Amino acid sequence: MKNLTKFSFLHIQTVMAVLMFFCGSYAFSQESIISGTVSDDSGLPVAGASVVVKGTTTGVATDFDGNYSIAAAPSGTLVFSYIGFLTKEVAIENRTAINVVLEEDIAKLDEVVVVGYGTQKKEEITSSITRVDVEDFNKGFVNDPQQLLQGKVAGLSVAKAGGNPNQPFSVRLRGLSTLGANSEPLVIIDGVIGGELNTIDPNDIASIDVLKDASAGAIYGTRGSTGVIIVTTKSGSGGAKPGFEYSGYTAVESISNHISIANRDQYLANGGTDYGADTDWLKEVSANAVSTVHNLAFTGSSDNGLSYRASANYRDIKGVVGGTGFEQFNARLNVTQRLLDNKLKLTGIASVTNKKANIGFAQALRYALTFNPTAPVFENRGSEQLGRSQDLYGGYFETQVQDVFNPVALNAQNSNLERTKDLLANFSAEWEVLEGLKLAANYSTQVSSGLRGSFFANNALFNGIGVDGRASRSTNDDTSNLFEFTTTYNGGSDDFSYNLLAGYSFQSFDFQGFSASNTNFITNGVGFDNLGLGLGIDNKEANMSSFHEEAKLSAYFGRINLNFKNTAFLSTSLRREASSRFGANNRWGNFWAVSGGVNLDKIFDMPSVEQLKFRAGYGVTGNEPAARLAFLERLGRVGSGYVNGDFVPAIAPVSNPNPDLKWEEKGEFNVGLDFAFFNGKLSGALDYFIRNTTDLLNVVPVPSPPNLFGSSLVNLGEMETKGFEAQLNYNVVNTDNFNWDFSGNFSTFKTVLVKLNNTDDAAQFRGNLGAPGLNNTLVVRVAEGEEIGQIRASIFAGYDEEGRTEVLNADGEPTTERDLDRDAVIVGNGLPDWTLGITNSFKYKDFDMNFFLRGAFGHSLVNIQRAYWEHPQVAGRQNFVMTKFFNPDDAEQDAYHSGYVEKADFLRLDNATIGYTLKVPEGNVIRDVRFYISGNNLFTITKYSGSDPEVRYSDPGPITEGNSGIAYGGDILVPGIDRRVTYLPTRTILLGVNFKL
Amino acid sequence: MKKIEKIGITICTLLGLFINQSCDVEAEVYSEITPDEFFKNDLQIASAASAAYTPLYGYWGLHDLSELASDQSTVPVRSNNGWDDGGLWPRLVEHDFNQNEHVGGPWNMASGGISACNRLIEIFTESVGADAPVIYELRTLRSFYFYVLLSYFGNIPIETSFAEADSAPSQVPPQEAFDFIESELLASLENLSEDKSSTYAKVNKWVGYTILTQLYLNAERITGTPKWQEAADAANVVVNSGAYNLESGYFANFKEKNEGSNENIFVVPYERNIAGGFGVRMSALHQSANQTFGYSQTPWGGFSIQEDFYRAFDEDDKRRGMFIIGQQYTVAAGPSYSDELGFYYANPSDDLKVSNCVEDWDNYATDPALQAQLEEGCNVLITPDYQEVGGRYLYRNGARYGKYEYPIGEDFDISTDFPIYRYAMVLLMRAEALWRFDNGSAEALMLVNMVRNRAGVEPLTALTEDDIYWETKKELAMENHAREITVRFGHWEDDWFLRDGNKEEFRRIYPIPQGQLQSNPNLKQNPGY
Repeated sequence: MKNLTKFSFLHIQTVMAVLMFFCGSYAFSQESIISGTVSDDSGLPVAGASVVVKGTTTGVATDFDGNYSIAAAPSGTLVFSYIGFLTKEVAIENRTAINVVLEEDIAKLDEVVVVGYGTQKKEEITSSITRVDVEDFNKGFVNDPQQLLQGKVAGLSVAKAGGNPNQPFSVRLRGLSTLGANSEPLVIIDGVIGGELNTIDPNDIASIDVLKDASAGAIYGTRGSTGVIIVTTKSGSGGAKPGFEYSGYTAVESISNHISIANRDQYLANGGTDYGADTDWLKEVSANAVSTVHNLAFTGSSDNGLSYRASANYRDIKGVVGGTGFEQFNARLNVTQRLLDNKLKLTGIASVTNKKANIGFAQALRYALTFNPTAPVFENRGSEQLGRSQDLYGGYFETQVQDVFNPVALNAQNSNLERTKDLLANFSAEWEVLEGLKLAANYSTQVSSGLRGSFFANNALFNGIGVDGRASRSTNDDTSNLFEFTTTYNGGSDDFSYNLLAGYSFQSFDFQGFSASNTNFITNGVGFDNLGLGLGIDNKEANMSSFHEEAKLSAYFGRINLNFKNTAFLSTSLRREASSRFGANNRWGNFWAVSGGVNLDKIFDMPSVEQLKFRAGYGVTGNEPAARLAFLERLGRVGSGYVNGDFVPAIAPVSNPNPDLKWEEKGEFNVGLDFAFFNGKLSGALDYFIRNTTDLLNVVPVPSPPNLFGSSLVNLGEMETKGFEAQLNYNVVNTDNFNWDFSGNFSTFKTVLVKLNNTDDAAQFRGNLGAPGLNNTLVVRVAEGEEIGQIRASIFAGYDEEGRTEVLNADGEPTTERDLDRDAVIVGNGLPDWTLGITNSFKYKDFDMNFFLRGAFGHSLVNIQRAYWEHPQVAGRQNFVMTKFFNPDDAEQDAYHSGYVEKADFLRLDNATIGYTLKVPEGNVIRDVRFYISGNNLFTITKYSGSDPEVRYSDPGPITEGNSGIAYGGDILVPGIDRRVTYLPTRTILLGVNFKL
Repeated sequence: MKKIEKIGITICTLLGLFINQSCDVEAEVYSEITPDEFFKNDLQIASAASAAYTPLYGYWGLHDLSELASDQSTVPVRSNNGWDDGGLWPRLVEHDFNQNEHVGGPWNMASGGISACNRLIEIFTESVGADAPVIYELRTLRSFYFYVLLSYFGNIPIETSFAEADSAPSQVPPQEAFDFIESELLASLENLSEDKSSTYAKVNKWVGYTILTQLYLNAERITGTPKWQEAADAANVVVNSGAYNLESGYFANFKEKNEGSNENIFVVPYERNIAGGFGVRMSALHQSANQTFGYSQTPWGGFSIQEDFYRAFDEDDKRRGMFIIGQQYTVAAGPSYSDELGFYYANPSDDLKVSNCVEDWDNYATDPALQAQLEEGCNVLITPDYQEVGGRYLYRNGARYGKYEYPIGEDFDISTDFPIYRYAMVLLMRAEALWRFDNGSAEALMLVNMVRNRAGVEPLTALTEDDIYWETKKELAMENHAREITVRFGHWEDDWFLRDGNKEEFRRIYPIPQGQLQSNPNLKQNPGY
C-alpha cells in the first residue's frame, strides 16, 4: 500500500509536470528567462561573449564564468558571438536552459602567427606562413612531431614508406632547393634554432608555424632555404585554471599490405624446390604489435606572476617485425615568472628524452617475401644428409642461396639497437624597458647523445658466420649552445604603426663520435657489450674510429614591419651571418627580404568579405654545406703504406682548399591571396612561387694536378622550382548540435635542374637497381634544363616464344637485347604532379568525428620487387612475386623495362577518429572525459601493385645483404625507386582516453 | 658592415664572459690533419712518400680490361640473368668498349699515382734536393704509372709538375710519351737502391729495369718501332743481378704469405683489412664456395676461364692447380693450398659434396647435353665447357680462379701480395726479345724451358711464336698481363668464346674515360671511339 502511494505520488508529479509544461508554454508565450553557459570547445568558459535576441536590440554579455541570463520569446532565436569564434544562432524552442559551445573561428583573423623572432597578427602577414594548431594536428597513431603535419600544409611533404617505427619521416618543403646540402626544413623549438625534434613529445606541441617562402625565412639566413618549421610547445599561460590532464591510448598495428607472392602450391607448380614444409614467412617474422602511450601534464599559475606546465610522456611503441620498436620517456617543464609589474618576463624550458630503440632488420620483411615457402623454420635434415652439422646455422634452416636468408634466423640471431638521449634547456628574459621598447636575451643548450650497437651471431649466416660473429658499437655526443639578444620597438598611431627588430645571434656546435667493431666471438652471449672478447683484433678484423668537429654561426639581423591603417603592410628584413663552414673569402653573407600586402576588403566595399589580402614578397636565403670543414685543405689516410716491412698510414691530401666556398643561395618570389568570406565560414590562401637556387653545393671532379685531390666541393649549378598551393577551410554546417568543418590543401610544383656543371655535357644517369643481375642498370636521368625525377626505361613489347622479354629498340622493333642507353625513353617521374590533403571534422552533440584523406598523384615508382622477383624462373633459388602482371611463361630471372615502372597515384584514408565526450557534471573531481577510437591507414586507393605507393623522395641506393636496411638521407636526385628492403605498410587501430582534473 | 660585426662580436664576448664561450666563428680543427702540422719527422715523411704507392691497391682492378677482355677469362651472362648488369660485362667480352664502362678505374689509378708522385717530388725537391734517392724512386714509380696509362690508353698527357701544373694538359703522341718514360727511367735507374730486402713492395733498381724491359718489349706495339735488343739487354740486368730466382713451387708466389718469395720483384702488398682491394674471390668463385671456404657471404660467381684456355694446359702441367674444377666439397673436405699444387681438397668424399640448387633444373629438362652435365643433381660439378641456354650459361660452367690462396672463413679481400713483376716474367720477356731477332736463339729456348721445367711439363726442342705466346699466357695467367701479351702477339682480333666481332685495330687501346673528357676540354677521344 505504501509503495503504491509512493508510486502514485511520483506519477502525479510527472503528470503535473507535463501538464505544467504544456500549460506553461501557453501561459507565458510572450517572454521567458533563458539562462546557460557559453564555453569554448575545450570546455573553458567564454567570458564577455555577447548574447542577443535575434531581430531585437536585447542583449547581455556572459560573466566571468561564461554564464548568462536573458529574457526572450520561447519561439525566438538567440545569437551568440565572441571575437575569434564563429557566431552561432540557436532556436530557443521553449527551453529555459541553453548551454552553448562556440567554435573557434577558422579564419582566425585576429590569430597571432609566430614569425621569426616574434609574432604578428595573421592579417598583417605579408609572406607565406601556415599555422597548424593543436586541434588541427594529425590524430591517432602519431609518434613523431613531423607526422602531426603530414598532409596538413600545402607544399609540405612528410613521407615515409612503410610502417617502420624507427625510420624517420622525410620532410620536404616546396620540393628540392638544394643539391649538396641539407634538404629538410630548419626546426625552431620555442626560439631555439636548429632544435632537435626528438626533444619533444608530439603531445606537448601547441602549434606549428611553417614559414614557406623566402621572405619569411630570410630572417634565418644561412639556414632558411629549405623552409622553417617553428614549434611552440604548450605552456602554462597566465590566468589558466590549475589542472591535470591525462591522455593515453593503446594501439594495435598490423601489416596492411604487401606485394603478392606465390603460395606453396604456386611455388612448386613453377618449379620450386620442395623442402617439405609449408611456411608463411610473413607470419613467422611479424605479429600484431601492441603499443601504449601515456601523456600526463599539470599546469597552473599563481597571483604573483608564476605560471608553469609540466609533462611526462611515455611511449612504448612496437613494430610489426617481432621485437622491434622503441620505448621513450620524455619530460618537459615550461616555467614563466613575471616580475616588475609584468614588465619583466622570465621563461625557463627544459626537456629530456630518453629513448631505447630496437631497430632490428628491415631485411627480415624482404626475405619473408622471398624465402622458399616450402622451407621449415628450423633445420629438419640430419647431419648425415647435410654433410655438415645440423646446428651450423644455430639450428635454423638455410637454403644457402645468394642474397636469401631465413628471415626468422636473421631476426632471432642478430641484434641492432639504438639508445639516444636528448636534452634541451632554454632560458630567456624579456624586459619592457619603456612603453613599446623591449629587450630580450635567450640562452639555450642542447645535448644529443646516442649509442648504436649491432651484433651478428657467430652461427648466423647473415653477416656472422664467416667472421665467427661480428659486433660493433658507435656513439655520438653532440652539443650546441645558442645566445641571442634582441631589441624590439612598437610605435605609431592607429593610422600608421611600425615594429622594429634588431638582434645578434651566436651559435656554436660540437660534434664527437666514436665507433668500434670486432669479430670472432667465442660466445654469442655478450652481444656487442663486450667488444674486447673478440679475436678479430688479433687478426686485424677489428676497427676503431673517432672524430671531433665543431661549427659556429654568428649573425646580426633586423626587421622593419609597417602597417598603414590595417590596410597596407610592408615588411623588410636583413640577416648578416657568418658560418665557420664557409671559406675565408666568403665567410659573411647577406640574406634579405622585402614583402608587402594590401587588404583589398578595406579599400573596396565588398559585402560578405571579411578579408581579401593580396601579398607579394621576395627574399634571399642560404643553405650551409653539410660538411663542416669542406673548405679546408686536409690530409688524411689514403691507405696503408709499406715502409720497411711494416704498414704505416699513408697520408696524402684528401681535399682541395676552397677559400671561396659559400652558401647555396636561394632567391624566391611569392605572391599570395588570403581570403575569408561569409563571416569567416569560408577562408583560405592561394600561393604561387618561383624559387631559384644558385651556387649549388656540388661535388665536381677536378683535374689533379694541379689540384691536390680529384674532386672539390664548389658552388656551381642552378635549380628552379615553380609551384602553386591552395589551402581552403569551410565551415559547412554550424548549428547547436551539429558542426562540420572541411579543410583541404592542394599543392603542385616542378623542379628543373637549370645548370649542373661547366661542361655542355649530356645527361647523367643515377639510381642503380643493383646486383644480382640489374647492376649498372641506371634508371633515373639527371640533365641540365630538365625536370628532376625522370625515370627512364625501354618500352616493354611482350615476350617472344621462348618467354624472353622483348623491348622496343630505337626503330620501334621488338628485341630481346635490352640496352637502356640505346633504347630508353622517359616513362615516368618519381615526384608527384600534385598532392592533396582533406580533413573533415564533425561534431554531433557529444560525439566528434574526423576523417583525413591524403593523396599524391602523377608519380611513378620503379617496382623493382617485380623486376627482380616476378619471374617463375627464380623459383630455383627463392619464392617469387605474383601480381596481376605475372606471366607463367616468363623465362627471365630478372628484367627491367617500362612494365616495371608503375603509376603510383594514391588516395589514402590516413586517419579516421570517432570520439565521445562524457560530460561530467560540475562539482565532480574529473572534468570532461573523452573516449575515442582511431584508425591509421585504413584504406589506400591505388593501382600500384607494390606494397606501398607512397612517394620516395630520395633513394637509399641498392642496399644488399650487408646493410642495415634503414634509409637515412640518400640520393635526393633519385626519387621514385621502390627498393627491395622497403618496410611494409601497416594499419593501426587504437583506443584512447583523455580527461582533465 | 665591418664595424657592426665588431660590435656584435664585442657584445657576444662581453656576455660570453659569464658563460665562458668564444665568439669567433673560426672552427677549431680537432680530428683532421692539416698540412702545417705534418711532415715533421722521418716517419711522417715516409708515410707521406708511401702515398705514391697507395694507388697500386687499385692494381687488381686492371683485371677487367686486361684478363676479362682477353682470350683467357670471360664473364658470360649466367642462368638467372646474373652478370647481365645492363650489358656491362658482355660488352667488355665482345670488345664493344665505351668511355663510361670499366675504363675510369684504371685511368684514375695511373693518373692518381702520377699526380701523387708529382706532388711528392715537388715537396721533397724543396726539402731534400733533386738528387736525393727518394726523388729517383718517385720518378721511376711515376714512369711505371705513365707506362700503364700509355699501354692502356695510347694517347696520354705528360704532366710532371704539380703546383704549376696545367689544369687541362693536352695529349702527346705515343712516341713522345714512350721517349719520355724511357728517358726518365734511364736517368733514374743507376741511382736506385740495389738492396732487395729494404725495398720490398717498393721501387728498386731491378724493378726499374723490369719496367724498362716491358717498355722496350712493347715498343713496336706502342710506337711502331721495335726495340727487341734493348728489351733483351734490360732484362739481362735483372737476370745478372742474381737477386732473384724461380721458386721451386709455382704457387709459392701466390700464397697468402708470399712475402718470402725469391721470385717476386715488384708487388702490391695487399693485406686484408689493412690494405684491401684484392677482391678476386667474390667475383670469381662459384656461389657455393661459401660452403667450401666457410664464408658468410655467397660469392657472386661471375669470372671464369675460357674452355680453350683451360684445355691449352698439358695434363701434367702443375700450373693447372690455378683452376677450381670438378666436384666441389664442403669445408670438411679440407680445401688446401700448397706451393706445389695450388688449390686442392685434402680429403674429399661423397658425403661432403657441396650442394647448391641455384640452377633451375626444370627449365633445362629438355636438353640432353645439359642433363648429362647436371646428372649430379644439386651437387656442384664445375665444368670447363659452357652450355648455352637462351644466351645464358650455368653458374657451374667454366673453371674458376684458384691461383691465389683463399684462407678459410674470410670473404672479400685476400692478403696475397699481388705480383706485378716476377722473375719468371723477366725470363720470358728476355726469351721473347731474343727470339724476335733470332728465331733460333738457344738462350731463348733455355729460358722458356726453365719456366716449363718448374711447371713439370716436357722441355721444348725448338721455339715457335705460338710456343712463347702460350707459355707466357699460361705462366702469367690472372696476373693482369693477358691483354698486353695477346695484343703483342697479334691475337687480340682473333675469334674466341663469346667474341666474334669488333675487330678494328683501334680497339687495341681503350677509350679515354668520360669523366676525364668532361674535366679536361683539351683531351681528345681516341680515334674510333
